[in-house]
Amino acid sequence: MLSLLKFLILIVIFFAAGNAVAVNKSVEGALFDLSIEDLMQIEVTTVSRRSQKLSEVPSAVFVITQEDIQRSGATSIPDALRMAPGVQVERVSTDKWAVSIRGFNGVYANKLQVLMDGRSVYNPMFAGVQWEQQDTLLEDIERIEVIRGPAAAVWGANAVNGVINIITKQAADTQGSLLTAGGGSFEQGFFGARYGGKINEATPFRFYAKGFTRDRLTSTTGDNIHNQWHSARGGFRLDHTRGIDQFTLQGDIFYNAHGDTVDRSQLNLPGIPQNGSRGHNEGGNIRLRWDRVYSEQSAIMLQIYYDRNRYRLVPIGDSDAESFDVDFQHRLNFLEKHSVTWGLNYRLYHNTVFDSVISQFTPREQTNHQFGAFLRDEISLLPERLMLTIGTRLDHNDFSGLEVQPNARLMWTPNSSNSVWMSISRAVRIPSRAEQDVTAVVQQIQGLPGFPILPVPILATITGTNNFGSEKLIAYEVGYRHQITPRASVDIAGFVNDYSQLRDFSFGALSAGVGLPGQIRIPVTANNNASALTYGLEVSADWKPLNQWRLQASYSYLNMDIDSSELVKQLDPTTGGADKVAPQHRLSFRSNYDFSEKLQLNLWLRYVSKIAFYNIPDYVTMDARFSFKPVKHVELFLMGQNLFSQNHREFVSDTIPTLPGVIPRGIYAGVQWRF
Amino acid sequence: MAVLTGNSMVRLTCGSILVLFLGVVLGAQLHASELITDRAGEYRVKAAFIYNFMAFTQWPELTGQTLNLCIYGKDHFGEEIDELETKTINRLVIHVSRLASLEKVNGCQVLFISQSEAGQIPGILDKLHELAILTISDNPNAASKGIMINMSLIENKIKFEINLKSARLAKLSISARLLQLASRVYQ
Repeated sequence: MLSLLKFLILIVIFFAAGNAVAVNKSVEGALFDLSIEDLMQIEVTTVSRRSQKLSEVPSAVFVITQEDIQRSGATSIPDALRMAPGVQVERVSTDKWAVSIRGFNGVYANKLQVLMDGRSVYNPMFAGVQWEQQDTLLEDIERIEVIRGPAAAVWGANAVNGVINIITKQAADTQGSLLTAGGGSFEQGFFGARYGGKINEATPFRFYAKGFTRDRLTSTTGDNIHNQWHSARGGFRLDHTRGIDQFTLQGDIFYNAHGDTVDRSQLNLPGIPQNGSRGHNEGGNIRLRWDRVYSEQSAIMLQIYYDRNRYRLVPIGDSDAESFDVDFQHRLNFLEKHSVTWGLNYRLYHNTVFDSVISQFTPREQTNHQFGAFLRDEISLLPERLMLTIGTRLDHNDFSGLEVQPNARLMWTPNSSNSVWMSISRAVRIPSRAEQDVTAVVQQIQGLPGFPILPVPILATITGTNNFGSEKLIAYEVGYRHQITPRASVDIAGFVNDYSQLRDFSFGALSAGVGLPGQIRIPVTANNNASALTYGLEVSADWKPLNQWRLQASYSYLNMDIDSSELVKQLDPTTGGADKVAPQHRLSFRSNYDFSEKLQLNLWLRYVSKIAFYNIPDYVTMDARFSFKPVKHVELFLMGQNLFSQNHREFVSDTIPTLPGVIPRGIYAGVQWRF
Repeated sequence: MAVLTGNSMVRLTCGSILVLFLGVVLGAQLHASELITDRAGEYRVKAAFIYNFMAFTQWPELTGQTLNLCIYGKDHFGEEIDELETKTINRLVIHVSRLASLEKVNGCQVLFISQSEAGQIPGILDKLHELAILTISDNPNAASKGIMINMSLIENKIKFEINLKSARLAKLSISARLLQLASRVYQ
């Protein structure tokens, strides 16, 4: 409550400050009075041009641009995602985030598809994204497209609540050298280097390397969580253009050293270390893409990638996974009014999960295949005014068989400054390998109603089952975009999501633990008996009161009603209790002010309402970034993170109970040199 | 006043913030200027370029009272380009029209070929065969195909190429100032 008031007061101050300096600039139409030399100096940002193209798409889309990332001072992709409305980003630990869209958040949030340059980073073993592995030189990111709502008709299964597309720049756009380095309190030290050159005019390339160390967190009780994080990463991109063909070869490798501490008050098994554990994960990927563009309306694309990662943090996880993917798409014009896109996809997953005291997979090693095909038709019912998009995707997977995911979208553009869209779509979240193959002790149950009171804790043991099927969603969405002036726009989207066959759990009979004396186990088995109805609203606004001043605001409201068994509501934050995990209100307010070409001040204010499930109160915080360019090509920056909240809590690790950390205030400084 | 519960208080506050946001955005209408951040804006700049291109071009013989600017294909300019009709070039009034077909192209002094017709450029140029019409477009490589002035967005700024050979064949003369500013001139 207090934090919200604080937020409100700060916004009023922002505006008061702004209005003091806001003066009317020139009026419209002045463009025709400019000389051609002046016209040639006017910047038309490509990013917004692309985002404008995106905004012609009838779905809730938000684009985070390179400039947004740079000005926000975000040091990781998940932190940058906080800028997008409807996205819930909570830091769980130094190297762990819970990221979801429109609810159902968790460390393994399973209803969100994430792609980096067209490569899916959704982990089918646990159903979720390991955010600590998803990184690149942030300066090389061109934009992050955040699509809220189902996008399964194009992107396939698991794009239930949304899709995040992280798109890096073409090699031609990253020519020259870039060096950056710095350090501070939480961001203890970081460096980044990139070199971009050309083999010949048609063949630009780049190489990059980066590394950082981030401080460990302390738990709410003041314990060391042992999660200090060291990361090293490198990669390259090579583009080649030959006539109507374009080829891209891209690859990355990374190494992370990290740690975590299992909360022994929740899970006290022999073999769980007292003082936390340290581990590492490493991996790499390589991708080849071929585009052939016949015309604006007709093009083909073929992409192949291979991705591998090894994760070892005993006893939390120990696995080796690889995936291989082939993707083909063809776009063509058909009978004038139809723009048809169709595609085929094959993906292979191969993974081995090693036993730990917490979990065992049977079988340990498995190969899975997934086939997909999609067809989408954009029909212009009234040229440039009314557009109908219908499409469907068929996916076949080893866990739930054939899945059909259709959608229909209608977009009405009465004039160039207004557009209204609506859609109905179906999407599924397919079962993960864990849900079928795992045996995992996840929690000690003590003193819960419905359970006998025993001197020893009862160990809830999740037992995988083939009977668990996919989770389903039918979503109804509507949206409105308005370009108020060339300097101001607003985007509103609302949705009702009707989920069925969500994951619920049933409890079996108590039994004595095998091999371990003094333990009582209760098997917990997943079923599809839960359902949910969620609805919400997201508003974002963008305004440039002055050429040197930009304000961006967003507000997200989310309400969830979940129907699942009473006990699961109290025990399972991922589904049964998800309504109490999703903050109802979320606000973000950014102000980017350029005092001159040399001096920038960027402020970012955020409010997140309470998370009742974990007893986390609401909070308001602010990041501030001050940047000074003493000479061309050199930038010095000073960044304050979480300035209004020394040690606030954001989230708690679900699935495996580890000690929750508090997020500290952080200060860092650095320098960037481009030449 | 009735006591507000915490929840309704939060809603109320959020509601007022929302109103504040919207108010701010609506208030923004007061501050309009030359900032270019969207596709419509990109085309406003392009329209201003076209105005300049027309001003720096000389036609062999102009009989009418107007300079006719014709747009062929999907119109990305919208109403903005119609503002050109308030402008004059050498005391000639500019008239903007959208062509559904090329039948009436004879009446045009300037033909803008939209991106939607990119594939048709060679055919269109064939139809025009050396008529005194200034051809302008914003399609990749269009100048090399014979379009007289082609705009493209490079590093956030609009650049243009000129095909002087096509202009000469059509007996149009393009000012040296424009030629100097062109990123490339095809002779």
